[in-house]
Amino acid sequence: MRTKYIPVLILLAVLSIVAFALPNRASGVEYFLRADTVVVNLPGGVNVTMWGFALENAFGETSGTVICPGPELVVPSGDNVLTIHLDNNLPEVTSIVIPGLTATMTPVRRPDGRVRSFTHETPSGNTEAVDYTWNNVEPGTYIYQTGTHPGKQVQMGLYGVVRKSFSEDGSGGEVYENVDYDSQKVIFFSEIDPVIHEAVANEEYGTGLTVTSPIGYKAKYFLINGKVYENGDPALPIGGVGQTILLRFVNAGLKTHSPMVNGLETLVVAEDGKPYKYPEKRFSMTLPAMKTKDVLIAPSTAGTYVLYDRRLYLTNSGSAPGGMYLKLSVND
Amino acid sequence: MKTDIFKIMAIASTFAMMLFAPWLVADAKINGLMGTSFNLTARTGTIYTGEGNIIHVWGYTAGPKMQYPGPTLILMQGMPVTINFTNNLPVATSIVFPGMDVTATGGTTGLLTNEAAPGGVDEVTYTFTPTRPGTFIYYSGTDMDLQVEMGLVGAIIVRPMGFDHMMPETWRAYGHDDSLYDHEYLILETEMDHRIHSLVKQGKYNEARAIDYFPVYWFINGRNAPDTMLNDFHPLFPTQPYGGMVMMHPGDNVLLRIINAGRDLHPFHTHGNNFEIIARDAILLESVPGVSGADLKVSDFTTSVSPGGTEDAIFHWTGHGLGWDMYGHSPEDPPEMGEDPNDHGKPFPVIIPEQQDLTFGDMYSGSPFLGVAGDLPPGHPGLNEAAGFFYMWHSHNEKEMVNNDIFPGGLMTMLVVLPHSVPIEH
Ligand SMILES: [Cu+2]
Repeated sequence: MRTKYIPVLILLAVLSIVAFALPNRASGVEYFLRADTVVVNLPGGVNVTMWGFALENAFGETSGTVICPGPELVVPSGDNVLTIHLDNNLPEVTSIVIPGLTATMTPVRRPDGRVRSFTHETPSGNTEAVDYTWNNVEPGTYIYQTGTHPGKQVQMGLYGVVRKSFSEDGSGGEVYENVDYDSQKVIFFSEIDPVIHEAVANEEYGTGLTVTSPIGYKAKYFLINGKVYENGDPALPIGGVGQTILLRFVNAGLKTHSPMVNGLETLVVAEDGKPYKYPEKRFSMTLPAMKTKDVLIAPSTAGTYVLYDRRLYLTNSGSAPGGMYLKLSVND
Repeated sequence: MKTDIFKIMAIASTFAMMLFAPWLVADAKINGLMGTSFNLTARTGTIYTGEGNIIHVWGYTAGPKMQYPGPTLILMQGMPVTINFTNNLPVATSIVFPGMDVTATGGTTGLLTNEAAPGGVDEVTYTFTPTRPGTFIYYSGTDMDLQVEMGLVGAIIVRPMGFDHMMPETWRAYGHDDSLYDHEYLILETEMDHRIHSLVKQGKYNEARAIDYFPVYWFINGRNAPDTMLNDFHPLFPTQPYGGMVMMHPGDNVLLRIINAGRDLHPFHTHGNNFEIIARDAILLESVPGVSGADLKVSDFTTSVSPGGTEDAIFHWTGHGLGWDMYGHSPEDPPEMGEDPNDHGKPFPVIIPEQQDLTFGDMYSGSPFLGVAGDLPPGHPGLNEAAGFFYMWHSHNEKEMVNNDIFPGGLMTMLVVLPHSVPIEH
């Protein structure tokens, strides 16, 4: 009798191997990120210590460049699962969360019971990758950010964008079902209060130290895509006349910003990765802290269009012009 | 009846200045410049704040004197507009018109648009055709963090096709009947940090912009409360021509054109009832554009308009839900125009105390009933002779209801509901 079951057992064994293999195939897209320190140069010879992410090919490598905001993490249309393998070269523990995407969260508490990290931590100098996985990535624009001591670590620069389109077709596609675009750009707003960064760099941040918390937060630098505006900055090519251009607005700063594009109106199609049932045509908008908004523009004339923050954060530590201006170029 | 309105307009009796302003004229329309061609100049000047301070301001004007905010431009949908712009400021400046497709000629090329040089030496011409009706904004497109703060802002109203000021049945904000109104009011919100203005007056532009921004004045139509409750073109405010007093009769639809010309969010809050937001940035909130009407309108009692943006809202008030007859009717009395039938003839829920047991606020008419002026003790100023109902409208960021730390003031005005016997002039 037993021999009769051998083929069945073999079949079961094969199936279990397939079953094991399947999660790997469905594990979709994975990224190796290294959290590390970087010094950012700002106008006027100001150097600010920031914490950012570098994209690596494998755990333990250090060939990538640490940037802030971190690398754009693209989830292909066909994939539902995103995995980040984290290598932590910062002086303290960190973690990664993505507001708006579901994940199994395992918060870590301090001895007094307060939450230190929203989910499992990656220790400083970890010797093997700590994985963060999201199994149900819907199309949209999201922010990945540190889930540890966010009052300090978000300001230090641990954030980046996750984006996924409903469908892709060359440089275009559908950002959401039936919401078409021909080209796309992420427009990432962030801020720097150099006092906090200097305190962290000098280990003078924390209870009983020079800077105890972000309570006295006063941003002096206002950045788009990791850069403050300076006279003579080149324009960012975003597409051509007759195209529908998707701008994915993201705000990782602590303040609300109000992006406006001089000479154009925008069609707001989604916020926080959730498509609007009725898109809104607007010339103004608010982009609160940690908000994402997807907007479409369709310029009918070639040229340079200036995007700016109507909250008027348009200086670099008090010198103008600066801050959140960004030239966008539209070709014929 | 007009004398009644004079008295009503003196409602802000809690603010003593009003007592000395008996020459007020009721005015319930949005004043501005109508036409298709405008000559605007940017000028320096001063404004008065609600507690009596004087602030150095830059503003747009069509006349010899600076004004704040700039003239409200009242345009017709589809009619091309030309604005000839000169600059009497000490620095280059310009105008941008969000939502309009603008051609700029003359002057010099700036970051956003063509700029006029200081000293009136050149002229920039901005032309555009407003293709859709609604509420718009204009402001400086030069060195905006300084110049918008200094006061270079203004409102634009585009009348829809078929609008005729002489025919109230055509008073729509948009093409659709969902935007019909009986009275319209402008609520243009701004804020100021007066330290910046002092430094600019001394020519210290770079010091001015390096200040940690901390506004202490908040404005409706360029005035702080209580001055918001005085009428348009009041002689006490030669550079602040626009008031912010809202008047209506029960049952009327009041169109609020709310503009955030400042940089901060100002949660504008109405007492008395919710309003319905029917448009944002001059786009009717509708599921099928041009067809469905404002079926996506939003009912709310507080709205924070995006900086640089506009909202249109309809406010309606009948006294619904009061639970007593606001006219003091008996059940057999005929109803008033616009009266909510649910409460007709219902008695006032408390026994009104004898005169000697009351303290009299300056605004008390002598009775709790609309349009019923009761007995008042000798010496009472009698400021509410028409016996209207008053509701405070203000920024729900309560900090913004002061003038440099002095309450009441700031981004605040009053709605007065008047009995139908008192006409509201347009
Ligand atoms: Cu209130």
